[in-house]
Amino acid sequence: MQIATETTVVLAMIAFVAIIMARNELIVRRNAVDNSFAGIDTQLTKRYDLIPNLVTVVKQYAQHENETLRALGELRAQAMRSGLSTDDRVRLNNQIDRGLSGVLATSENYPQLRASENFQQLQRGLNEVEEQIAASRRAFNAAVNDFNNAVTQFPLSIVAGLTGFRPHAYFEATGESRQAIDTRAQLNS
Amino acid sequence: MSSQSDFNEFYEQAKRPIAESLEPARKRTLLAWYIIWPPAIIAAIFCFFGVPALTGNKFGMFAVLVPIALGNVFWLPIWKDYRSRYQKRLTAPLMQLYDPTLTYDPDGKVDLELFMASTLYANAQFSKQDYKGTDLVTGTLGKTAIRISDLRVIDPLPEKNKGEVIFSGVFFVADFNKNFSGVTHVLPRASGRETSANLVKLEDPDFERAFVVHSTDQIESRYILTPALMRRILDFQTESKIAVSIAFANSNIFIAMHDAKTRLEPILFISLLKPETVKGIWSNLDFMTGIVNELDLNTRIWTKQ
Repeated sequence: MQIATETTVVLAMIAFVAIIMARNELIVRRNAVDNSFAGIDTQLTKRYDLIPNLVTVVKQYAQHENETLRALGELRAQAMRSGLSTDDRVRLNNQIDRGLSGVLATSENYPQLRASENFQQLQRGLNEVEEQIAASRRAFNAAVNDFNNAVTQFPLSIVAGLTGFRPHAYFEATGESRQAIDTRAQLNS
Repeated sequence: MSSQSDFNEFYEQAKRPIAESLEPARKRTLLAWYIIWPPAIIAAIFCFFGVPALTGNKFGMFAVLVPIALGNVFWLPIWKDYRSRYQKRLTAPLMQLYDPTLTYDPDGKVDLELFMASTLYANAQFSKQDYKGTDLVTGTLGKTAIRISDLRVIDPLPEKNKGEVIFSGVFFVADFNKNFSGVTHVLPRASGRETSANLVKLEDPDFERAFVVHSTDQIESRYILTPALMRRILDFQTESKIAVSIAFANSNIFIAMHDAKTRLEPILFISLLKPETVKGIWSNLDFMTGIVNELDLNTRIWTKQ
C-alpha cells in the first residue's frame, strides 16, 4: 500500500515537471513569434520615416500629384497611431504599399524627378526597407510555423489545450494586395 | 565580359604568337620533362628499394630524396621560364580581353585575413605556412569586386603526425549587393557541418534538402537569402556539379568550391595550337566570373551601390 502511494506521488511529480517543461517550451516559441512580429514593426517604422522625405522630394517636381501625396501622408499618420488592432495595421500597411507603388509609378512621368539624386536615394532606401519587411514577414511565418507545429503535435498539444495555447495566424497577403496594382486607377484616384 | 566572337577574334590574334613562341616553348619544356622525370622516378624507386637492400641499412630508403631533389634542381628553372611566357603571352592577354579590369597573379592567393573573415573555418587551427594558394584573379565585374584563387589549407595535427586538409579548392570572394552586419552560413547538408550560430529554416524545400543554414540574425539571413537567391544558389550547384559552402559576412559573399580548380596553370601535355585548349581557359574564366551573373550580384537597387 505504501509502495503504491509512493509510486503515485512520484508519477504525479514527474507528470507535473513534464507539464511545466512543455508549457515553458510553448512559451519560448510563442515569445519567438512575438519577437519576430516586433521585427516587422521595426521595419514598418523605418518605412514610415521615409515617407515624409519622399513626399517632399516628389512635390518639388510633381505638383499635379499633391492629392496622391496627401493621401499617402494621411495613411502614414493613421498607421503610426497607437492602439490599432493587428487587422487595422495590416490593412493600413497594405494601403501604404499600394500608395507607395503608385507614387513610384507616377514618377515615370517626371524625368527630372527620376534623375534627382535625392529621389534615387529614397528609392534605394525604400527598396531596402521593402526587402527587410519581406524578410521580417518570412521570419515571422517561420516562427509561427514552429509554434503551430508544437501546439498541434502530440504530446505538446495536450499541454497546449490545457493551458490555452492556440495556433497563431500566419502573415498572409490580403486579397487587396494580391491584386495587380492598377496604375491608371492609382493616377486617376 | 566578352563573348564568343571576342574569343574568336582573340584566338585569331593569338594564334601567331602561340605558334611562333609559346608552342615551341611548350614542346621544349615537355621534352625537358621527359628527359628529367622518368629517369628521376626510376632512380628514386631504385633508391627506395635497392639502397636498403644493398647496404643493409633500412634508412637507406631516404636516398630517394636525392634523385627527387636533383630532378627539381633541373626542372624548376625550366618550368618557371615556361610558366612566365605562358602567363605573359596567353593568360594575361586572354584575361584582359575577357574583362579589362581582371588581373592575374599566378603565385598570388586570396588573403588569409579574407579567408578567416568568412568564418567558414573559424575553428580550424593552422599557421600561415599551412595556407597555400595560386592563380589569384582580381577585378571588378560590372559593379562587383571579386577575388578568386585556388587554395589549399592544411591542419598540421602534430599528434597524428600528418596533416588534415581543411580546405582544398577554389575560394571566391565578392562584394555582395546588400549591406548587412551579421554572419550567415550556407553549408552542404551532406557534410554534417554546423556552426555556433542559430539554425535558420527556410521555405524552399529543395534548398533545405541541399543546404543547412545558420545565422546570427534570423531576419538578416532572410534579407540575404531571398527565394530568388536560394534558387540561384541551387541552380549554380546543380550546373557546376561542385559542392559549395557559402558565407555572408561583412557585406561580402564567400564561396568555397570544394575540390575545384581554377585551371589557369600552364598547359604542358596538350598542344596549344588546338583552339579547344585555349577555349578551355576561356571557359574556366567564364565559370569563375559567371558566378557574379549567376547570383545576380550586379543588381544594386538597394542602399549599397
